Amino acid sequence: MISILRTNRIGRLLLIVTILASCITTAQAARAWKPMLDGLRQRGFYDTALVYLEQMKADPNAPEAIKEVLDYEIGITLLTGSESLDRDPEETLDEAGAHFETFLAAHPHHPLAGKVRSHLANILLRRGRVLTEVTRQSELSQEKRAALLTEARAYYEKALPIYREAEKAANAELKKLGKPTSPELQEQVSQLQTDLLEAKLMGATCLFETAMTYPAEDEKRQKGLRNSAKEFESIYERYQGFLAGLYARLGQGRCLKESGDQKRAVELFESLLLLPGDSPVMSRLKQQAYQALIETLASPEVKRFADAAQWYQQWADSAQPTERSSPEGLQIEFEGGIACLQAAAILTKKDPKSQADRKRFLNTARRALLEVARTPGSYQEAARAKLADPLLGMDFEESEAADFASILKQGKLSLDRLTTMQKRLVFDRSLTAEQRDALNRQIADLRTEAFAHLHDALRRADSKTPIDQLNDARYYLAYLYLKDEQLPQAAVLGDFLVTHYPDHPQAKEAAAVALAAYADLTGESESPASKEIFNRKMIETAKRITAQWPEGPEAASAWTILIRSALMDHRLDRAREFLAKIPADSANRGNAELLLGRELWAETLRAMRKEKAGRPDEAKLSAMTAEAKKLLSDGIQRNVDANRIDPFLFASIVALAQIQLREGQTDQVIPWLENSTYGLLPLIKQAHPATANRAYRIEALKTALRAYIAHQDFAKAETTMDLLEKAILEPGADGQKQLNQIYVTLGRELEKILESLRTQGKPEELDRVTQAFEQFLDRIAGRSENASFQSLMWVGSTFFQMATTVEAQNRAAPLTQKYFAKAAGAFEAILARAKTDPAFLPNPNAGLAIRIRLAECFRRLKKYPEAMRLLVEVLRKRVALVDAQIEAAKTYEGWGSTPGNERRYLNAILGGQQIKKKDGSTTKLVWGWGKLSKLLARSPHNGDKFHQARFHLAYCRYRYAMTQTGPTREENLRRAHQDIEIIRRLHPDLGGSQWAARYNALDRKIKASQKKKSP
Amino acid sequence: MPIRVFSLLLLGLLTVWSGSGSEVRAADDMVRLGKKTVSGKITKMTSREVTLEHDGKIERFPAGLIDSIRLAEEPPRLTTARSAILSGRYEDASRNLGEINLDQIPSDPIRQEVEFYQALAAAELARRGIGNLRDAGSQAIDFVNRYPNSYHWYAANELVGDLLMEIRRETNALEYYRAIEDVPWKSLQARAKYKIGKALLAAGRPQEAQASFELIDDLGADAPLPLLAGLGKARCLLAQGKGDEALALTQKVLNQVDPENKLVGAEAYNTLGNCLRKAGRNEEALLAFLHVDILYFADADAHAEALANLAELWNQMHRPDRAAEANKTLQNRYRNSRWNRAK
Repeated sequence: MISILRTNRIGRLLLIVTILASCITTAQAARAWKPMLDGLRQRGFYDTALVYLEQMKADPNAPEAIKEVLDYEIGITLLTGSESLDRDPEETLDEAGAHFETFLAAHPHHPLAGKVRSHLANILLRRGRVLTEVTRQSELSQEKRAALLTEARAYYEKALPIYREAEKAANAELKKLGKPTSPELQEQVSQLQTDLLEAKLMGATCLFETAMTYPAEDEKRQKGLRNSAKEFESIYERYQGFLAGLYARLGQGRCLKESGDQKRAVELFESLLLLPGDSPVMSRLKQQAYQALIETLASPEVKRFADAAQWYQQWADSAQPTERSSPEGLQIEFEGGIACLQAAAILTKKDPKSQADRKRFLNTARRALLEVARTPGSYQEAARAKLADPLLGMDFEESEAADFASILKQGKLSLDRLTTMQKRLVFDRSLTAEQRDALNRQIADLRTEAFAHLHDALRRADSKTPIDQLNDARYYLAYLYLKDEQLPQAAVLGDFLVTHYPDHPQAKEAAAVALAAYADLTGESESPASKEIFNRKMIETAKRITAQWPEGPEAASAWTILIRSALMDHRLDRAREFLAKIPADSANRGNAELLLGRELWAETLRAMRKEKAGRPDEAKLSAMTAEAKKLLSDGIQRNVDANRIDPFLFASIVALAQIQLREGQTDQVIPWLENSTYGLLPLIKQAHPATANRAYRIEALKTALRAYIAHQDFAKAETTMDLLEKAILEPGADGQKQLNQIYVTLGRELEKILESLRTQGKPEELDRVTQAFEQFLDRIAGRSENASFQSLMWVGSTFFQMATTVEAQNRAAPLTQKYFAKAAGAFEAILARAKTDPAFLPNPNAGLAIRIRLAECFRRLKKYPEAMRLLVEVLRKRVALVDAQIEAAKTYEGWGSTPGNERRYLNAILGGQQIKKKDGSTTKLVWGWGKLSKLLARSPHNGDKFHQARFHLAYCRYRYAMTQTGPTREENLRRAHQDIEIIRRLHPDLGGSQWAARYNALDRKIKASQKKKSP
Repeated sequence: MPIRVFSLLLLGLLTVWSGSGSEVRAADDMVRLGKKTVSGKITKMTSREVTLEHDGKIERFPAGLIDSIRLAEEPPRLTTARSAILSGRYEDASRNLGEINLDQIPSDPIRQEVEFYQALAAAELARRGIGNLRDAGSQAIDFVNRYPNSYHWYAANELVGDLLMEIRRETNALEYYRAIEDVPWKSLQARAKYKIGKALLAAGRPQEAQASFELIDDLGADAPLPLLAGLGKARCLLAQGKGDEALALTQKVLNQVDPENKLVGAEAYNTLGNCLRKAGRNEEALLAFLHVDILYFADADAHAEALANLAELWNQMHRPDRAAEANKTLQNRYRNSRWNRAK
């Protein structure tokens, strides 16, 4: 079976089955290595098991307890896989032996040492059997056959004393241990008993094999068979409750059959088949019993063909597909087929009574032999030859069908080898560059080979090709297409299988292939239309998977896709339902939680930004936040546990940290920033692939900056600020502008935090954060020699913002003054730096803007002359700069409010700062509210500024009037009222509700003053 | 003999015939119709009927319903070649037929059998780019003209029509298809209507083509012809600018198609691909044509059509490498195809 495992492409989506070894960390390895290794070997993935073991060997962090037994495990893997591995079996056995020897030399007293010695004997036995097998070839001469049997016998005779020695050693150890008194001792005793039984069984087997190397008529053969039968019987008698005892019974039966007592042999084999139980181990034993029984019944000495056929049918009805396709299964299939053929042959064609049986036997024989003929193996050729038997009458077309099976098998083999090599390329860190190149070339060849075989198989398929085999070929091809990034092809084939053959054993995997292909196509498509189409197909496939197979990793991936889809449609309720379907232990659960958590948090933020009328109440918002936080926390924890550090996790940690920051839980944020494995800052510093997305990187740094400020860790805040500037000012467009925006946004966000703490009624927290923030700003401003323009600008603007906020809340005036002074300090620092280094400013206009903002600070600090000096500097350069003119008028207005400076109100109205023009005439540099209102009246887009000018014009007249007495006062009050009346006539709405309220309030004051008698 | 529509069916049935070979006397002629095989002596053969004498009886078989005839005296190479043709191994068939010395053939029926299969193998190979379509066409026309009494005569007419379609001489193809229109067997009549519809459609006469396809339902033809006719109608609707109707009809047919029917599967997905392309849904069209390339490539004409479309679609999707690959396959396998615009 092919596992389809890909994990990361599904940043766009996660899909694909994971390679067993890929996800195992060193810590997990200590627990999981043995089951995993056994699993690989049980599935026949010997190549992968070897790569895994080599990888463990090369890993310096692998636990010592594992390293110690690696040679033993490699030996076992080579020994058990010697027939299946794509290498010379003889060399494989040699290699296995070498690893066992290495293990024994290093650990002669290891508890496994006895077992290893037995395995060395097993290798000898295996070698002997290989030679015995060769002697069955018909073309061998008598002499050659005899020589080979003698050689085989030598191996058996060498193995026997080792088994005997192992038996003795196990017996001695058992005696020494006595009755076990602890669970550990019990375990040791059990192991020793197993070793003892194995040694006995193998010893008896050695006797049997040795006997069979002598000619049939030789007395040595008969004697050997008697001895081995006796040993088998003794084992059975003593251990008939053990599996080994039953195997001994099987061995005894074989001895009896070979020594001519077929009747008794048949009884023994049948007794084994009548035993209850169908566990895998029992099935394996019974499979061997079936083979021995059918072979014996159909032998020339017994000739009970109909009985053999009946037992074959019983086996065929109960055997699993894997059992049928195993070498033993194919042998039973072949021998059963022959038995059926012989059973048919002895029935008279003309006898009408036996016609039905004859037909049935022939059909069964045809089916069995075709199956063997289609499958590569020891009996394939013989089965093909038997199909030509006149009774069966099969012609070449059947062998064509068999060709399909052979080619499919070759394709599958190429694909398996390709998969193994690709795994090796990924996981074998010891490979040199040259070895990697060679491996890559081999992989390319295998890919071409696999494609060629599988396409060929599909071409050869016809109406007689078994549909399951045809669909196997389609599935393998779909998988290969996916691996080769031929995504539309993979999607078509996977989709076809899951649509038309949902009951095919690999339909689920095919669906996973289609899903992965559509996911990648969605991710890769450039045009929105293509994206939409492939996304729709992906969702359709995901729905089909979840409907057909609601559980398992494929379903979990599909649920994740459906969650994504529901989120795109803003169906949070559906997404929650889908999430509930993913088991907690699924590899997909973490990312699904993060998906939903992030979207829920985004939804919460959107809700918070709504106008009050449409915004959910605080309780609802808190509940949404809490749910998002829980999902993010759970998802992050799962992914961290699985060591899945990717961009998705990175962005999710940022989101969770932002929530916690909003809630003032700064202590909880710090670990997200600093943890050495998954912390945002270490990952950024390492340039970890998880931080590849620049936007998330910047977001992470902004979050870190806010957290450190709130946590009053200014040193780290400064470092973070440097990282942030570095990240933003990376080569590329608009870095400066972006940084300014970030600082402004950061200032606003921090303001929001402060506001939120105020509304939540957390004064202590509020003061702490405010104070911390203020100190941080001071530090940034304090390093003005090193500070950037952006950071100083940010400090100045933020202090300014804090001052206006405090001012608006009518809080302590000294605090307002303090913040304005700090803001002014920052702006002055910028101007001082610009004086010595004009390039410090991002553009020439920046100097003017900063002077205006500084002048405003001075005005708020009632430093009117300083403010006016700055504004004159600006207006000398650009007299028509409206913002500067407004600020200058405001400065005169404020100045007029101070004792003895009431005439400044007239400057505010009429302008000031007279200068000579080039033609010798004079003009006023500061226009005042009068000229400003006239000029602004001409530009409709400046409506707000126009009303500002008109209002202040009337206001300054009123304020000036109130400093005067008699007719001057009355005249100015009249003109102030007239100013408002003019506006009322020209603009009946008085510039909107806000300005109307102010105009009306002022007018009421004017009228009230007019009614009072002038002093 | 019907060639394209029923070749897969024949292939399946041949197995049964061959399987029962041991029961048949060597000196018998054998006529096979569906699962039935009758052996005896052929006493008369016309384009419409084959007469067989067996077990003292005379039995007449309608020529249009005969799947194949194995003649008692035929050379073994002819038997092998026939099997090869029914398995789609035309090169093997051609080689075996080429080794038969026609001068040594004792009877006219055997000679006709050899020549028909020679023409058929040459035609199929030419459609795959091996040999020349016109030469194969001449061979088939020669057979039609020389053996008006062969039971293969209608199949030979159909073969000529098919070859003329390949070289875009649809109007001439119509003449040959119409020659089989008036046969007394409904199944063959229905197939003639289908081929006529295809020729008319290719000749730019979709309304007439649609009428021809619609007649198939009236004939009560067996599967898969009604499905193919439905797809033919969908193509006609598309050609008349009724894209939505065409797509709906194609989808309806697709829902009824046996996924293992290669011929109908290919035609259905090609029709679907064309409908989607016309609607500007190129991504989906690509997936539709890929079905033919990967799953339903058995029919040369259909595969060539899919490849030609794929080459254009891959280019539109900025995958010139894949486009080149599709073009290469088209060149290598179907050099002579009407879909190969480079020919």
